[in-house]
This record gives sequence, structure tokens and C-alpha cells, in this order.
Amino acid sequence: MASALAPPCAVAPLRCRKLNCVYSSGKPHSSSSASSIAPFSVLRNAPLFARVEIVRGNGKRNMVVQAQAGFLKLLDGHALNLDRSDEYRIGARKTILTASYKFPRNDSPMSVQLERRDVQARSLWDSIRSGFGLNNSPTAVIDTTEIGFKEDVELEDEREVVLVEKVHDDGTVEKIVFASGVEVDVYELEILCDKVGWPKRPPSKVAAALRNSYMVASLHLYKQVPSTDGEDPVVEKRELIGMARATSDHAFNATIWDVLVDPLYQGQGLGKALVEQMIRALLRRDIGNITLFADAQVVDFYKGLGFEADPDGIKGMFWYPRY
Amino acid sequence: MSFMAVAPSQSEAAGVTESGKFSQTDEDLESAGFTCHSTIEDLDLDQLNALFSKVSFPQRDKGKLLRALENTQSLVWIQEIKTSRLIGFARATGDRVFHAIIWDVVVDPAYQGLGLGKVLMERLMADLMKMGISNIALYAEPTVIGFYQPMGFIADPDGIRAMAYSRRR
Repeated sequence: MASALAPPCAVAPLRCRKLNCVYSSGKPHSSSSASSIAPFSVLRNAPLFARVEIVRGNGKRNMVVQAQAGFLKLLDGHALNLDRSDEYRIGARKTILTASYKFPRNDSPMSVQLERRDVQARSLWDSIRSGFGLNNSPTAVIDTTEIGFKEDVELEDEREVVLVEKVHDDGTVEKIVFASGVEVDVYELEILCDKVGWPKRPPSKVAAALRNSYMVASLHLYKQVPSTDGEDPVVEKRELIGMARATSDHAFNATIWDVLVDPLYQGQGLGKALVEQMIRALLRRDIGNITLFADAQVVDFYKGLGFEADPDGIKGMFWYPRY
Repeated sequence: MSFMAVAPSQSEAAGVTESGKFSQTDEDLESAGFTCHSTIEDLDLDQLNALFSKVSFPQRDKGKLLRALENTQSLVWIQEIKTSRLIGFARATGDRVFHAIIWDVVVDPAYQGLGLGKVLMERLMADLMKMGISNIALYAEPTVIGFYQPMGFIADPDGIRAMAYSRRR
């Protein structure tokens, strides 16, 4: 499965947290560490993986790895294969974030650089900055870095996940990024709703609805053009191409509304990714009951994502609906 | 998906009930020995959990319950005056603009059959109408679908289905 290697997340303004690595079966890329979106160095045919271990204040450990489906492996002390995207829930009150990497025995050493991203002093994620590989018999850990952060800081932060990345021949980079905390511009949303043929709604009401929503998830397309003088690339364009939101009581129930993807970008699995990431974000915040109302033609779509229709015979009822 | 529901007029029960009036006024309720509340002030969380257990709803962690109530758009609860006992409850969450979902509609089994469920719903809906929200939905167990239908609730309109995420990991 050949696909372009995803560079690590860039420095701000993207504020990427988690790396989406994709496996490359092509030639190794050379790393250019000067640039903030250097591609990874990778060994030919070596899968990429990351293990992030969260050690809680009371010594309890939870494993967390967010993996791009099919491409990463989860290591929990035993080698095990992960052939689909998986995630282990993190409990609250994380205090220590430990990242460790395994290097192959026989290949040239690769540098590992951990970067700390503090956003609003709330939480901490590292970008994994260079490539590394693992063959099937891992060696001892070469480097671990422990990063502590304040007590009571919960790792239920806003997430940005790079879903798709394309590097064009001219060096232009296009990324589709999921975020659950980035503000959605009401006018961009209006344009998007137009594209999918939804009726217009007063912008002030839409703004209020977004503000009163527990979570507003977005898909943005970022287009970056490399600058010629070797500086950080300039973000040339940001376009809203998908959105979903959820209302909630912040504790027990959440209801997902308004899931939409720009028709130009449909058919790529972005709608699925949007809802999937949103579900994860909600589960991370311990919302146990995630519900929605599905039009007849999208019931199967949501079933594929883990939703059950009429659970226990429970019926959705609407008060005097008009169409 | 969104319905373009027509907003009925704004007077208290108009549009909520057929007659335009509450089935039982505050005075009626007081004569029957009950009072209605619409804020979380004085709401006893232990009593609420006790009420939930009477109808086999899950017990809720009090911290979470408080957070849920603080982030609830509208709520109504009925108290028996003599005993100060909480005997009825209902709440609604939403975005305060377009939609609302009604949750946790409960009447103590010992006080059912007095029309208190209707009282709860009428007042909750009137509150939502006051906010201008008429796109109101809920999830009904099979045994109570018949309770909501006379109030104007329609199940699976136009083939729309209620769905819930099921964690089968």
C-alpha cells in the first residue's frame, strides 16, 4: 500500500496534537530538519509506530495510541497487531506523559525530537518530529522523555487530527484537519450549508446555536505553499469543508446534529472520519450516551459507525414536525 | 437534518395544548397538594436519584448529576407540599435556538394516574416555546409512546430513526 508519508504536524497555527503516520513502502525520504514540516525519515518497508504511555498520579497506567487505521501498531508490552484504528480511553487526571520509541537494531540511528505544545496552558502533546522504524523484534528503548504537567490538568483537550495529507510536486501541501475546538466561522458555515442545499438560517441564530453547542467539530482544508527562502511555509488558505456539532448536558447525554461535508469532498470517507473523531472526543469527555436522529437514507451510514437504531425499541419522537 | 417547524403563538400554553391552557393550573396543583418548580434551586439530588430508582432509571453520580442539571436548558419538577417529596421531574437540553431534546421524564409510580406527567410536559414545552424553540424531540421507550402521542409527538416522522452509539469494544 503506497501512500505519501505524512509529515509531522507543523508548528502553530495548526496546533496538531497527534500524529497520523502513514506507512510508506516507497523509498526512504530524506529528512529536512530545518523545516517545521519535515517529512519523516523512514526505513524501507518499516512500519511506523508510536507508543504513548500515560502515567497517572496514582501510578495507574493507561495506554493510548491513536492510530491511523491499518498502518500503526499498538504496543502494550506485548507485540500486538492492530489492523484498524483503535484507541484506549484515558482516564482523567493525567499527570505524566511518557513517550518512548523503539529503534531497529541494524539501521542508521535516527534522531528523535519531542516537542511540547502548550495551548492555553491546559494540556500537553508532543509532535513526533522524526522518523523511526520498528522491525518485528523491537530493541530496548533508546530514549524516553518524561514531561510532567500540572496536577488536575485533564487531557480532554481539543483535538486536531490530520486526516488527509497530500504533498504535490510543487511542494504545496494540502491537509484536511479535524478539530473539535476550532471556532467555526458562521459565514463559512453558511457557504457550506448552501453547497449541501440546506435552507438558510439567520447567522445570529446559527452563531448562538454554535455557542450553545457542547462540541462543534470541523473539517478544514489547509493549503500550504512552501516559501522560497526556506522559512516556515505560509498557510495560504483555510476552507471549511465539513462540520458536525453536538448538544449535551456535559455529563450523560449528547446528541449529534448537522453533520455535513462539502459535496466536492464527499466520497472520501471524511464524513465517517468526522463522526468517528467526534464520538471519540465525546467518549474522552466521559459522555456515555451519544445519540442522533438519522434520516432514513443515512441510517446505514451510522450503523457502520457503531450506532444502533431504535435501541431497546426506543423510538425517536418529534413534536408536530413540519418539513 | 432540521425541521422547519411552525412556531405557535407565545402565550403560556398556547400551541402546547389543544385548548391553549394548561390541563392543571398552578392553583389546581396547589389544591391537589403539589407545587411546580422550574429551577434547580432547592432541588434535592438525593431525592432525584431516589425518584430515578423508583422507575428503574440508573442512579447517577451526584457530581455528574449536578453538572448535567447546570447544563440543562429547561427543567420542571413537582414537589408534594406536605412531605416536600420530589415526585415528578423532566428536563430538556439543546442549543437554545433550534432544537431541544427532552430527557428523564419521571413521575413517582405512587403518584401516577393524576395527570402529573402531562403537567410536567406541558410546562416544559411552554418554557421551550417561550425560547422560540419548536423543534422538540425525545426518545421514548415503547411503553410510553402512547403517552407522548396525544401531546403531538410523532414517532419516526418521515422515516427518521433514533440512533444511539453502542460501545461493543
